[in-house]
Amino acid sequence: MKIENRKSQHRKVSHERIRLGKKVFAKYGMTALMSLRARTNGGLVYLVPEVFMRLVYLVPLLFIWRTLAEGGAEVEMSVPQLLSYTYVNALAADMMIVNTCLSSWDFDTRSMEMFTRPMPVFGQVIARTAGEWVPMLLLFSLPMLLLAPAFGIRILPRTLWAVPSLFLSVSLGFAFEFIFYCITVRLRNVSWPTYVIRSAVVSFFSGTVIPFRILPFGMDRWIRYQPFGSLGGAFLAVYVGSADAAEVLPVQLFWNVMIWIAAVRWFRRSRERMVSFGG
Amino acid sequence: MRRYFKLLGIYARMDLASLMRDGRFMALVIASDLVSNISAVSGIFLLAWKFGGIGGMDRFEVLFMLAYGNVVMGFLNMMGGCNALFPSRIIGRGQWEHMFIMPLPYGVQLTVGIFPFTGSSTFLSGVGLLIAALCNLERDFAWWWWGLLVLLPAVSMVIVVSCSYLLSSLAFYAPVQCEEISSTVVYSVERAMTFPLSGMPAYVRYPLLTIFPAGLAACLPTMILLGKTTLSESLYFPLFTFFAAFTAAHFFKKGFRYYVKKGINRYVSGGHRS
Repeated sequence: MKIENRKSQHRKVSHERIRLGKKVFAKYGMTALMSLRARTNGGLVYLVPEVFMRLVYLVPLLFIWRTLAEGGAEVEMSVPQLLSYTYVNALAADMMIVNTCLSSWDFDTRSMEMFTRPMPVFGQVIARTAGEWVPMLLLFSLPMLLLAPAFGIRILPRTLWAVPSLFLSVSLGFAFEFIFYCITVRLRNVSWPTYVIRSAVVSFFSGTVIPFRILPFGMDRWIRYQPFGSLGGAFLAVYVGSADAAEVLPVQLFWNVMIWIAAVRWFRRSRERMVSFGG
Repeated sequence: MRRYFKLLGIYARMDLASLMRDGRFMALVIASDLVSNISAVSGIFLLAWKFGGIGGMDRFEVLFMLAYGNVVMGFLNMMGGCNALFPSRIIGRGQWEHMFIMPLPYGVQLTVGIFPFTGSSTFLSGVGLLIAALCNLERDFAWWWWGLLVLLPAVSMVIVVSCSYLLSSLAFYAPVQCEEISSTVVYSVERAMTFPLSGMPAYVRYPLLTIFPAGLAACLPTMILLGKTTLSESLYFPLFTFFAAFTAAHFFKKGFRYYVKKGINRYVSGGHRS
């Protein structure tokens, strides 16, 4: 009797948890769906210029590696590795360097919307950003993924450790977003300098465009250990096999813990300093 | 003309005032721009440094090209600060209608909004890099070469502005969706102009010199200045610029004619933008 009671109680608790889980998932899922729709509310055809521009950036970069290889330059990575590195970076560009509404220009103080909704800000930002990724993933990344063999590009990861590495780099990207948002708040909501510094520092120090392995002056020895080095560049290095996952993942994990602690603490402190301008 | 320069002076004074009002903050803004500019060129330059050059250009020729690009974009950003470089924003936000009521020609309204103090960091870093590259190029330049060094960036600027205005004419038809199309174009040119196209296959090089002429914003004019082009390639640059400017003007006027008939309805009765 007792055992049956316990079982039914356990079942009840599990059902309750599932119901709650579904509710939470639905809540964040709906936020993601809203931002997806917002991104495409003008029709998919208006995303075509962005797709075109991504191609314009990707193709010459691919040919730079080929040009260097044909010129007989000695590169620490093989040409197929470099091509995969650049190609995967272009396909997953939004995830390699996470950009949310928090550190974009924010000229219309969109980030303030987050505080008017009955949901945690962290969850909202993540759900909203993930929703914004979907149109380009479907319109650009998926077709380019299917076309990769036609360009002679190896698209499969060298190791499955690339999956946790991707998760860690995306997670760290979100943590940095909150850190940069706090800087914006401290600068009285003037987001331009934060945006510019962030874009500049992150794009170079993340190693997403130029792999650390091929940087001159022995820069690769230290640059991979700085916090931005655990963003997209770390994942791409694991993906193409130019770095050992056993070396990369602990560093990524370390920076995730450190930056998230800093982000959460600083964000709590900075909330009181927020200013909103209407109009 | 006198009025034009007077207006330029007014905008310059306002910009100086914003710099002086909060010098510490503006120093931060300028420093952030400088970091951004140096970071933007460092990737390609470090590659060029490591491999002794890229695609037939040596290290300092690559630096010269990157500096040239910075000068072009820096000057445009400095002079087109009030969205003159991004007309789709003005159109898409319904702000062209504000320009109707101003007693000045559109061209004047668009070009007087300059930021010579707070918006000059890209231009200045470009000039600095250009001097560094020239000091290391180890060449003797003829007297007329220096004139070319001033003229060709101006032609490259016409290319960038033409691309922006050509695509911005779409904003007359679809203001909401195309509000940011000019920034997509300009930023894409800015990113793609850092690639040394020499050494790349024709099917990559030609589209970047025709359909999407980012190569004309830095690479081809740099090759002309370095004396690495044929006569036909050198002539192609001004001819294409003329064609691009003419096409952009034609389609922009066509879009504008549509706009004055139909208008746009971005503002609801409460005054908010939809």
